[in-house]
This record gives sequence, structure tokens and C-alpha cells, in this order.
Amino acid sequence: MFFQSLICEPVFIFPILSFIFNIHLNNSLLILIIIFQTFSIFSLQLGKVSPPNFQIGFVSSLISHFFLKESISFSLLFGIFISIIFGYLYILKRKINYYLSNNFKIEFALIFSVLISYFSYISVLLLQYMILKKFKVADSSNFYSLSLFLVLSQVKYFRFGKKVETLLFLVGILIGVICLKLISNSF
Amino acid sequence: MFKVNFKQFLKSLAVQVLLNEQDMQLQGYNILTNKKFKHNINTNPYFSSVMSGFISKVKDIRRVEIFASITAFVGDDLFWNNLKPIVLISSLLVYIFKLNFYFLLIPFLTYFLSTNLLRLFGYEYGRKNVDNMNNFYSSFFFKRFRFFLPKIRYLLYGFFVILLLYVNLKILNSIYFYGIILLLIIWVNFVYKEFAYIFLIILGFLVELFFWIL
Repeated sequence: MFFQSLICEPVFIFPILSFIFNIHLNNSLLILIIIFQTFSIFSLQLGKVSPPNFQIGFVSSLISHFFLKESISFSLLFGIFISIIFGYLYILKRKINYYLSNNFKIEFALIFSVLISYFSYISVLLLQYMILKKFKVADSSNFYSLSLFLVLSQVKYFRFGKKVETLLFLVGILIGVICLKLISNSF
Repeated sequence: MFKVNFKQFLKSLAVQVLLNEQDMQLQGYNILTNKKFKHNINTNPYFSSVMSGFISKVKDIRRVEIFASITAFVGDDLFWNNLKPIVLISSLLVYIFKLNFYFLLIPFLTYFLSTNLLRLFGYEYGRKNVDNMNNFYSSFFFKRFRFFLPKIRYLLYGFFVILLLYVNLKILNSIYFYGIILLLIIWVNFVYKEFAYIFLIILGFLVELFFWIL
């Protein structure tokens, strides 16, 4: 439940983590945030019931990049893999929920369900930590650039229904082009 | 009344927690209605307390089912399809333009308050408006929101796409390489459709390997 809430979205959890652990936003972290946040947005567009995998994928990437000092390419890759694993873990949790609610008192099923979520997510994160310690991947800006393109390829899920929507999308692009002047010094 | 509303608010969280593939939201509604309602319905979890208020007054299961499907459609469309992407993209813009993190409070509170206040006062609303529920979908509130939210969403999509392209160009520093990748991505998406996602991850690995060999 907690992992599904809005506060766990990369854009909202980062300020909290940066405040607690004194993490400063740099371009590498910005790329991580953009990639995982965009995946999360488009998983909503696909009609999924907001699975929490990309939120945890982002936190895993942040841990590996900031705390374990891994390269951004490796952290990104690992975050994406963890997201995929958590997708299946979420499906498994829904199956366990059915077993719990039919075999235990509903109040206990509720508590067990929350506990199982927490422990399964934390144990996978610990497993990730153990794996991370054994592997090293060289850093490359080309890789995370490709990841940004991968995010961009999700545009097809926008589902343009009416002409006015396409028109508004193009107006958005136009405003974006105008605003580029504002960020031209940021990168 | 606030105490009752708050109790229902806490119970309504169970609808999302106990979601499962076979029963869907049945177990959650068991808790929400103190085991008085034992039918399988599908709703949006944000509307679960509205549904519980409605269920407490209406005994006709067909009416409950119809209203449940309306709340499922309105909730999914309003919150997950429109409001959440708007909130998240506008928050990302705060990062891209390197604004103060305090600006994130605006989109966060917009979504947080609208969903949780609906959960908090939904029970009372559901009980009071049992007879007006036929007009629920076309009511002023949802009609207004459904009119302008998708428009903001598409505007933000366009804005966001151009920013992503720009950020990417800055990273790559090579207009030719950038053009080739962009064309490749568009081609892959047209050819592989839903499998483009997997194909592009493999492609990323291959390109990375290529650069590593070089």
C-alpha cells in the first residue's frame, strides 16, 4: 500500500531522500528521475493498476548510484531489471492475497499482506545489494542516452483520440521549443 | 460524523491492499461494509468510501453493480488516466527547469488532497446522494474536470517530449548519431509495436557492447 502511494513516485521521494541523506541533484540523478518517472507515467497509460515497480526500481538505482558509488549506466540497468522483477512480485502478491483472505481472518490477512509486501520488497533490495557487490559495469553516456530514447519511444501510448488532442500535443511541442531557451544554460 | 468518516477512510485503504486476481476487491469491501456486502464488484479504490455509503443505503444489487462500474470508469479516467500524469509531468518540469523543490508541493497536494478528501468525505456523500447517483457521471464536477484535464495532459505531453529530445541531444553531442538513433527508435516502434520495449533494451545492450569493444 505504501509503495503504491503518490509519495513513492521518484519525483516526490527524491526530495525526502535528499533531505535525509544530503543528496545533491546532479545531471546523472536527473536522468534517473526522468527515466523512472516516465516509465511510471506510461505504465498508468497502459491501464495497469499503478504497480509499484518503477518507484522501487528508482530507489534501487539511487541506492546503487549514490550509496554504493556504482556508475550511472549500471545503476540504471539494475533499476530497470529490478522494476521488471517487482512487476512479477506484485502479481505474486495479488495471488498470495487471495490465499490469505480465504484462509485467515480478514484482519490478519490485511496485516500479513502489508508485512509480506514490505519483507518481500526489502529482501529483494538486499539481494540486489549482494549482487551489486560482485559486478562492475563501465560507465557510458551513450547508454543512458539510449535509455532516454527508450523512454521517448513510449509516446505511442499517448492514444490520440481526437484532432484537438493532436493539436494540443503540437502546441505543447511549440511551447517546449520556446522554453528551451530557459534551460539552455542548465545542461 | 467525522469519526465515522475517518473510520471509513482507514477501511477504504484495505480495498487496494487486499486486491487479488480471483476476488478482485471483494475482501476489501468485506472490511469496508463490516461483512454485510458479499458481492464481487469492481470500482476505483478512491471511490470505495462513496461506494460503501451507497451500499449502506441501497439493497438492490443491480443498482450497486451499475454504480460500481460508473465509479470504476470515472475514477480510472479522472485520477489514473488524467490527473496523475499531469501531476507527475508537472513535477518533472520542476526538476528539468531546476526550480526549488517547494514547487513540488503544488502538484503533490493537488493529487493527495483530491483523492484523500474524496476517501474521507465519500461515505457521507454516498449516503446523502443515493437518489441523485443517476446523474453522477454527468454531474457538474466531473463534467468540468473531464473537459479540461485531458487537454492539459496532451499539452504537457508535447512539452515533455520536446524537452526529452533536447536533454538527449545535449548528452549525445553528435547530431548525426542522434538522428540515426531517433529514426531507429521510430522504425522499431512501427515494426515491433508492443515488443519494441524489449527490442530496444537488447539494442541498448548491443550498442553498449559495441562502444566497449571500440
